Amino acid sequence: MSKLLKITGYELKNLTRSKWTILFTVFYFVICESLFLLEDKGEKVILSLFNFILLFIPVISLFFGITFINNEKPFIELLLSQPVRRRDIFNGLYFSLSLSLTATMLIGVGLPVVLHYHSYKVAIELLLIFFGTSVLLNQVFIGVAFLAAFVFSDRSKGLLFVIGFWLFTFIIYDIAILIISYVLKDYPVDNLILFITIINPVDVGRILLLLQFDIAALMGYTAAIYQMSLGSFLSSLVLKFILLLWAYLPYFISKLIFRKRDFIL
Amino acid sequence: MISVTGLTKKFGKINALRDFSYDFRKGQVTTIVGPNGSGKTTLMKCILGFLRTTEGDIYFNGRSIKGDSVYRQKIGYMAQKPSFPENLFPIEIIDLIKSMRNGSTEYDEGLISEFEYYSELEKPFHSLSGGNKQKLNAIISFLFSPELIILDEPTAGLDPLTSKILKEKIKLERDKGKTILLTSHIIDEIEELTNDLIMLYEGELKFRISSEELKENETRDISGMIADLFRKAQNE
Repeated sequence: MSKLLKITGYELKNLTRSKWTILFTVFYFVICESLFLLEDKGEKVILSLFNFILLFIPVISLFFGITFINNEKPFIELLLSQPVRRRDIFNGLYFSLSLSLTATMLIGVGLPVVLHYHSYKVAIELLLIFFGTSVLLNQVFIGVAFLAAFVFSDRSKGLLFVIGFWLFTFIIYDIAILIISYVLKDYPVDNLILFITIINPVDVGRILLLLQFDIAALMGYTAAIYQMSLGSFLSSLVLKFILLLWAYLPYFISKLIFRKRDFIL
Repeated sequence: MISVTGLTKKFGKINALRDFSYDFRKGQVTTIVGPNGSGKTTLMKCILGFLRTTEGDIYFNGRSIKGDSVYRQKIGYMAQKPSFPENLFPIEIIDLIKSMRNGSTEYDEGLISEFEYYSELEKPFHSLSGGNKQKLNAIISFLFSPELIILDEPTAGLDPLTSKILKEKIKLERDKGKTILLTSHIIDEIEELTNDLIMLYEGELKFRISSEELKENETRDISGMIADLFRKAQNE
């Protein structure tokens, strides 16, 4: 236990001193502040903030995540030569990266939200869903970065996987939904679409937040289907569960691989 | 001390090590030579437990290392290309490594003063020169006075003075009865340090020459011997 804490603590120190972490925080802060200047209606601001977060969390967590792990690989070897359980090394890396990226986002986005709170006044529940979803999405993509880094020993293959996953969540998935709903327009595809949504954590997060607004026009295709078939409450429950699963499974699988695999640099 | 029996390691279809058996003796520097890609580093990484063995077993003080991590308490390892978290200072890295071994309270920090390393201890790791990074690696591998010291091309990238200090340290530890495993491509270094010599070729143990046999060879022309061995292995 104390070994795990030491590894986490020192890796956290290492990450906090990194110029990238500071850059990300400033970046989040500047963008959020400018969004508050542009819009003044409370819920609309949250919506724009969320769209912005959906765009940048995957990029930052995936690419910074995999670069970080790849850089740490020689050090992981050195730790492996010490009398430490592999589990502790893995968790130390995972916890420190998660904590630092979550803090980056919570400070960069949370500070403007708190500073402007008096002027826009939205429901606390909405804010909770907003931050909760953001934190979970962050975990999803850190998990996927770990998975890519430890499934592939070859660094470029890991990076390729990460790029592929990112393209999938942003472009390929939307095109696929579009094609499916067009080609199969004469059939009842709602259940199929409900099922397909599960494979894209970004969409799960997006629907989860949009359900809070109850404005059908804002929802988009997949969110509207969720609301019609399951209703807001049940949808939100199901989607929260799926998102939790998305945050946990990549972590769990990559830990399993880390504990079993061969380490060649 | 450490004995390897019938060790085979496959990466997919490639045989990195084939049925390797050897007893590494206490108080001796055992040098592993062999062309690039002959399995030297693979052997070391199997002993360290980075690689899961395909067949065979490794015994550390008579106990199998399978599923064990505690035996590494007694091993110091100096990797070929070390790297540490780049924004940490050497002093923090040393503290981190120290806390990985519970129970140790006495540390051998002799190399810090011999390398005159005190001025480097509080600079971020990424700002250190290549040689100073390698020195930190050396300091850490000798920190716990381990029973077994595994050195993978230790003096590559070190200046002549530093490699001399390191070689003296290796001899000192050997004379204290430590077991030392060394790979190297530098003939002078092999000649100076070697007691037992083994040669790997395509994952197989091709030749072994004990320190007693080396002593009988009056000229101690190890470089000539190694060249002969390489040629013989290739012709087979």
